[in-house]
Amino acid sequence: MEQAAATLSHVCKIFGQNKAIADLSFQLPKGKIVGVVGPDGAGKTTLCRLLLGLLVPSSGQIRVLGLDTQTQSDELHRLVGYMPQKFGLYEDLSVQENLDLYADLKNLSHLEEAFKELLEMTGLAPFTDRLAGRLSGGMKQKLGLACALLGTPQVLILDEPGVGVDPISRRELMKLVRDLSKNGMSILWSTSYLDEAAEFDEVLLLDEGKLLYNGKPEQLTRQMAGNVFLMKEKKTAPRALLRQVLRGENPIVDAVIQGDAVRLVAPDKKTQKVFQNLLTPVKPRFEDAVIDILGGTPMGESKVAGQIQIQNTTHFMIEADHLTKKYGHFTAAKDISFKIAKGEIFGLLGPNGAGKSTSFKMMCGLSRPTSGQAFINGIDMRKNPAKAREQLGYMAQKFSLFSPLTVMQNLRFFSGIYGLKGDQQENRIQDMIDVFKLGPYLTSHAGDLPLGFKQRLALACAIMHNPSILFLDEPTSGVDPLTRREFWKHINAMVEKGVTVMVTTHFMDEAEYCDRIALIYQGQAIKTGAPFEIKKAHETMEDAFIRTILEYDKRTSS
Amino acid sequence: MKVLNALIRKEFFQIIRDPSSILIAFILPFVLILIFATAISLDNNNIRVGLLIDGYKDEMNDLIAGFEHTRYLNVTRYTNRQEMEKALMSDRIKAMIIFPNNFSKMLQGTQDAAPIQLITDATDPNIATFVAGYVQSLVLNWMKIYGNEKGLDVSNLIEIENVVWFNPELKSRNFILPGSIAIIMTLVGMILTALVIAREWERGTMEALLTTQMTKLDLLMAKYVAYYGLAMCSTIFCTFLAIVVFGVPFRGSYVAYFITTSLFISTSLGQGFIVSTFSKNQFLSSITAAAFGFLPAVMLSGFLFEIPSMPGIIQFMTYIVPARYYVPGINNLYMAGNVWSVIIPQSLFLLINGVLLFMILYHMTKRRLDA
Repeated sequence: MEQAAATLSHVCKIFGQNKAIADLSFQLPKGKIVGVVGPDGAGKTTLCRLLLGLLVPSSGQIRVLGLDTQTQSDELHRLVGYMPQKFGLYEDLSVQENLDLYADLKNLSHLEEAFKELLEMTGLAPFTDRLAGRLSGGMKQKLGLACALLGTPQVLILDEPGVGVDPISRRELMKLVRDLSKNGMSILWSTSYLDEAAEFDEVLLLDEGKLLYNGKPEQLTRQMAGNVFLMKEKKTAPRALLRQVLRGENPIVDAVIQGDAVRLVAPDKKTQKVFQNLLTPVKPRFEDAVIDILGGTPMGESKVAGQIQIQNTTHFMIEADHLTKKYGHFTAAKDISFKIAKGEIFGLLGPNGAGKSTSFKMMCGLSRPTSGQAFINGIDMRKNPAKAREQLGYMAQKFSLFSPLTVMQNLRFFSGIYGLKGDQQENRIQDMIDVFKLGPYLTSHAGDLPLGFKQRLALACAIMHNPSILFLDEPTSGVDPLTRREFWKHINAMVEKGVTVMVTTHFMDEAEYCDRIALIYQGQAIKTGAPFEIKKAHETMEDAFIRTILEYDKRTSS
Repeated sequence: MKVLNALIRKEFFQIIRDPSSILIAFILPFVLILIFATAISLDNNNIRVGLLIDGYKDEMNDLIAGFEHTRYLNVTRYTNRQEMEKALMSDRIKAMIIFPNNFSKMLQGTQDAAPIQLITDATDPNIATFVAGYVQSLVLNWMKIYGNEKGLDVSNLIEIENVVWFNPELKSRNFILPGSIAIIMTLVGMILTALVIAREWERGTMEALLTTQMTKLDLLMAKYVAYYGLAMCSTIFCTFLAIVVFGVPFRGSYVAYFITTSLFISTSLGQGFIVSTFSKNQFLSSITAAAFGFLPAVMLSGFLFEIPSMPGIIQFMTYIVPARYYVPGINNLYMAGNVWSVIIPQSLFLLINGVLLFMILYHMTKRRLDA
């Protein structure tokens, strides 16, 4: 008889007016890995905290290992291991001291054997004296896991363990956790990476607190079988082809760029027939099915590029020439060089802390390189930063808007600092309101907007002065997949008109939108090229990245 | 006990490995003591005054010499009133003393008192009052001697006697430094602690702690013990600077000093922890701590401004400022010795204050993330 490790029935959690979890019922099976998947604000963290008794449900019932999360929380905490976001480590304490602390706090003793086992399992044994703050993202993650595993819990809850961690460490963690589940541990793993979903035994797909799907990931993916294709036309570049498909009359569920083709999800038989000659069937993936559940990709054409005119140039729009940035002894970016032509999307791809943002800041003149040069439209960033910046639109990480100002005030402010005046300013603001459909939100405070609208407003503010170059720093971080597609539609439209784009991302699959990418790892660009050149056949971007890193490590160590 | 010990050890490691805690506990007090000891002086020495004598007579010599030879005044002689007024207005002198040309004649007479005009620059009322008082006493003193010599009756004049107790040299440093220790301890205690609970929230470690066997009491006691230790070291350091380096006398009992200071530190810690628990954000916490801890301690403790001369409502407000009880206590210990009638009630107030703050804090601290 199979018994559940945790049972939720009709659980709601309301913060103020906001329903973080709406009527959720599910069972966490024993000895399985269950993934809680969804964009930021979907309710993943709230769910973790409810299970731990850190939050009280507004209504409904929660039982974990047969215990009430409120009245029996002491008992519960003995049996449940928890790794919160950012791993819950003390950075001023060494690896061993962190372990000792958590062992004492859990009132455990005689742990020499357990410590030895955990340190061996996580590969941290050689680093016991190192301060946790000095560990890499992947090592921090493993130490966090080791601390959560003290006292051999029956249930393990991991909240976004993959954030800030390189793809290799993410895979290693999955392997470790897989072994634990084989030994009977029940695991709940929250993530915003849809491509991780396939690894779980079961998936809980959440969006705005609502449960969209609960079951085996393959089962959902299988529903899309026979409906997913790669679409290629000899004469048309993938970006133009994508635009055609999205503008067209034929009903589709999803269309994104993949390598030198368009990945098309089209269950509609008529559509399949129309494009018959262009399509090659491929295996569906989890994300295809998720887009279907969410109601399909936004159709139509972006009007953002309406009057953009970019002068023709012969030189490269963006040029990085041996950029190096050192902070004391630490080299954040080492000898990074690339050239970006007009109308190209160039991506800097890598995990957090790899040096993406450092390179990025040097390119837009926010940080002075220790050595090397940066050119924007042929202008030396060091000699004439003001002139170079006139040509730039910059969208900073986490959409740096003025949250106490309203949407309209933000638009006015940003158009003002970019030097727009009078009628021109009014017209541009109106354009932005129309293109990004900001009308209903004009008097709302920017801080209160839903994440997707924040992103739209941030993009609007960055492009109001018609820049010929656009810098996007993690522009889609935390945003749901539909909003991401919408966003890329705008970017593609601008690029078609000749705008040059440089973008950083840690979403591996997002690299597909780029014409060329540089893989950034440990401060260096270890490989540069078009995504389909970097990827081998049947490889995902993440596979390709991992292979490249391993090759690089082998090369440098020998 | 195991949990508490582990937490205290953790706090201790964090303190010694975090340069900012050393900065706040030792460097900041060092700089403040230096400023309070040298730069801020409430001493009235060498105040520049102007003197104008119309119709000089020999018998006034003694009086003039009296003005010129005191170290409290720095006298400049003027011959022209307009010129002296200009000097006053341009802040070259703080007061003008004018002997009218009929002064000596009127001195001979018996009907009217001989007038001396004293005009002071009251933009700095402390100095103005001081000069007025001082000039008055000099003149009275001189009149007594002069009257005795001439056999005149001066008994109808009020004699002002000015005796200074406890701080005979009138060194402001001697009361500023003990008072400043109170200010520094408020600042150190609050800023250190305002940061630490907020930091646990910001770094996500609080969430991890909440899923262990730790109780609220464990968490709070560990923080109190660790930061009490640090603040105590900081006090000892400040006391050393005050007594050994700057030569401030200490006349009371060190045991009493230790006890009142311990009680006072616990109130500062309590305030800091409350701020920290409330805001969950290090930046906001430190600003709040400075605004709600440092400023009231400076303004409302009686350290710089006399509480009895404050408006009633402000006087009432001073009762919730712990420094208000501590400042008179340690001023007594430093300058007067063991005045138990002051120290014991003030310490009791601090104890009550500290216990109340701890109870509020305990009530505010949650074992969960929502209310």
